[in-house]
Amino acid sequence: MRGFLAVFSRELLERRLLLAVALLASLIPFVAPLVPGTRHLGASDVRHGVALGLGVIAAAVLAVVLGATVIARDLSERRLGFYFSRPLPAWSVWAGKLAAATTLTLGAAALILLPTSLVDGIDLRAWWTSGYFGPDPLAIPFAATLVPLLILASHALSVMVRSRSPWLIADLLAAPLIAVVIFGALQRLLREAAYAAASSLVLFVAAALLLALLAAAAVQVQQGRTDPRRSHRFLSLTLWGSLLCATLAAQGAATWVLGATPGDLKGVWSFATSPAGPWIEVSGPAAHRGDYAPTFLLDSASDRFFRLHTPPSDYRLGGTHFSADGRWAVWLEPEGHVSRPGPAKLLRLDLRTPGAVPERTTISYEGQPGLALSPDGSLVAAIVRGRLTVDRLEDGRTLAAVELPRHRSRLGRLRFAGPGRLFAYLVLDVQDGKVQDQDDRWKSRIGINELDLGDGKLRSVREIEGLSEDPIWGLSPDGGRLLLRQGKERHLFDARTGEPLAILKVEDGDLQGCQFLADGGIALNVSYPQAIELRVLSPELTERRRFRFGKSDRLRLAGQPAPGRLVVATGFLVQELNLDNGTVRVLSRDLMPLGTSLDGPASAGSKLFQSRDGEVFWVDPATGSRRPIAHGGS
Amino acid sequence: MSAIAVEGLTVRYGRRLALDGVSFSVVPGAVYALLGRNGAGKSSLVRCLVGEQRPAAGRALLLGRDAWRERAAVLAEVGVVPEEPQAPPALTARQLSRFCSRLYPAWDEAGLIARLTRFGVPTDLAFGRLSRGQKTQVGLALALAPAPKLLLLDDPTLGLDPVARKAVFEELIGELADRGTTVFMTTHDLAGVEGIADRVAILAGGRLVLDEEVETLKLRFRRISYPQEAAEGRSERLAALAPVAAASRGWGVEAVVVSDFDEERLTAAAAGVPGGRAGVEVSALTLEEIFIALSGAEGGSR
Repeated sequence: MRGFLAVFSRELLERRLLLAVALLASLIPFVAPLVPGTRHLGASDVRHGVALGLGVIAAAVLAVVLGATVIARDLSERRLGFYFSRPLPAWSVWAGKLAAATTLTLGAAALILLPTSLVDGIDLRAWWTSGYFGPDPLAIPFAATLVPLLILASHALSVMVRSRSPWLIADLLAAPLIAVVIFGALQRLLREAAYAAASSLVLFVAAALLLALLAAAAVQVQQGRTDPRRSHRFLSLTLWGSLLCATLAAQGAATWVLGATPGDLKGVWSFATSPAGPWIEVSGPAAHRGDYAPTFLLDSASDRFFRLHTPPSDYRLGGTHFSADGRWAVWLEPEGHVSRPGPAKLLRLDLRTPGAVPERTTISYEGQPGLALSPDGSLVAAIVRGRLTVDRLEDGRTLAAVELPRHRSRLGRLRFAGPGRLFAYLVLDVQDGKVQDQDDRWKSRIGINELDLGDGKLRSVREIEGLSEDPIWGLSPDGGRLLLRQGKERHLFDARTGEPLAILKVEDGDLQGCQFLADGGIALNVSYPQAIELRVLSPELTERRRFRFGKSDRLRLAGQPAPGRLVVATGFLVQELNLDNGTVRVLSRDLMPLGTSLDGPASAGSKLFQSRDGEVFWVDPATGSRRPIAHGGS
Repeated sequence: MSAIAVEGLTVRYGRRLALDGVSFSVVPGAVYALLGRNGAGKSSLVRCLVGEQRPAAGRALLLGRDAWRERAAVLAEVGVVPEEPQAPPALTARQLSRFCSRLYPAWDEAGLIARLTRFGVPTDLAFGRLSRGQKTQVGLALALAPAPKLLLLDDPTLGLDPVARKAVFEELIGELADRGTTVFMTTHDLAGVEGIADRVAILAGGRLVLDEEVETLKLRFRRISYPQEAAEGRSERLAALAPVAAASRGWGVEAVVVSDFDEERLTAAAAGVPGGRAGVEVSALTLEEIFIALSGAEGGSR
């Protein structure tokens, strides 16, 4: 310690003039308001700005200059031997000199800022709360940490350049290599919207850089001593060795974060189910991975899965679409640089072929496309920025591309209907070429349009008008019927022609909800003062069965795991309703269904449930046996 | 315990071998002079001794301690005068003295100032503004101020004028007379060192080719010269006396240097040639002449 203090104080003594110059510079802010053209800014603001600017510039310049000279110049000019011919431990030479450089730099900056802050009674921290420097309590320590980082970086660079050793070639190769690898890891995390992990990575790399520079300088002085080339060798070996380890750790951490499996999911944010077959798409937060929320395409029968590069937070992508036959899945993945997202690329996966892997198609979309997949999965239709296109997935050929009528469509839904026909359902905001005002929007219309893939012509079939509210609407699983909410009633239309078919209403209760079932039947959720009633209608709209539940329960339809069976959930109580004989069977008291009423017996969705702590199970409704799909748990 | 013990010391710079298994020791109180041509490895040896250079093999012990591992502890008892005068250029001799005084257990500042005054070195002038000779004198004064047990001097008179060189050696002689400090020095100043060195070693091509008491060395080496006209067959007979370290020719005189001179063998060898012993002169060599003979064009085999 005696040696450290001796070196430290000697360095301060030798460079004491710097502090005197800083003290003189601290007077400049008081002269600055006298400069013509600054009066309109206010004297205090000018003083603050000039003092802060001078302080930052002084700190940056001194850090670079002192870092480049305190050890490196002594080494190259063969003066370091003075210390090494004295009874000084190597560490005290290194630490004493670098501590003195840091003290001089921060001291000079503080001296420049001090008179202004004393005269104006200002809080220095207030200058650093712009958000770029982090939260207030950490702002000044954060800025102060940059000084030793700059000093050490400048020192390392100076030793490398001054030594004129061949190790400079290694430096020139290692620096960009490590930068590229770390940037790559950061890109991967940002691309997957793992922002917390990316922030941690940046902090880790910054800390690793600081420690590596510190260790490199220490080892350089300890092992290289007065030999410039040997010093350079040890500096480079330690620096790049440490940073390489840090880089590998960063890469490993990024790989580990992005290598989450369905078992790591600690909850489910969104999911989609194939209408037929065991495949589901599920996304949610992964355990111990910050805000990373991976999306998986998962075979619930075999636990085979694919990680999709579709961050749930990327609103443009819109999830996975399955073909009606359950063979194909398509989804969008973002392309381009993280900061300049390009078009989203369409990928597809053959779900029936063993060993198949996701395949990039030649189709990509700008903006936020609304997609539909043909029943056999061979065609994809999309509405992007007022344009409807139909492409063949096999070769990316565009079969049709039409501009939609000039209107603002807030919602659009596409449905293939047999070979060569596509129906586009659009919610219109324009009437007679005029954009509706805010009040009129509540009287939206739905336009039914039919695209003939043979001639590529779009034909307006019908517009359903007079909808008094923002329409809530649904299509039957076969796409043949359209259900629209109209006040307390539900209006049923032919989805291909727009012809009204029926009006569903309840005289003695309040019709809360209305959903299609897999077989085309309809379930009505009716609220009474003391109870909730589920009414099940056949596809022919005849009443098939009624079930009553307690008033406090919020009823949710959750798929049809077998013909004639309907699963409903009230909170975590899951019951199976037998539509044939009207019996009710409790399936579980601690699960919540993931599926929807449209998930029929052929879909895994009707058998998926989530526990209170986020675990996802496949449950056999017949036996009640469970198999974990996503472990969740935290 | 030896003041200095060097064992199998090897130093490499890349592929170049600067020191090749050098071993020697210096007894306490001795003045040991290491001689060698430029590039012989002297400075590498000194850097190893002060713990600035890590040897590729072997070790260097100062006062019984490893100079690389325990450099700071060792140097508390050792004064070092490097080949190039080194000190922060902005500091004066007094400031340097004050800095160094914090590092040593004992520090004779008054003695240091007195010594510099004797040298005629200004104590309040920045080190960077002193002449080379003055810088060396400041370095010597700083090295002597802690009253070291061992003094290491790396060519301390290099580039000094005769007056400054004389002052350095006088100071050393005084130090030796007063305290009996062990001195290890590398030098090219053979005339200067001849009067004070007890033992001398010669380094050539990274190897130690000689390590001997100065007195026995000077007794062992002789120049044998004879007229050139009587040289017929004489050179061969005289050369049989001992290995010829070096030979010279000029002014009608043939001369050889023998490293293990013996009068009786010379007489016997001269008896068999015309003229016999007559005309053959035997003379002693200076340390410089021995050094040149050993380190000359022949490369210096013993």
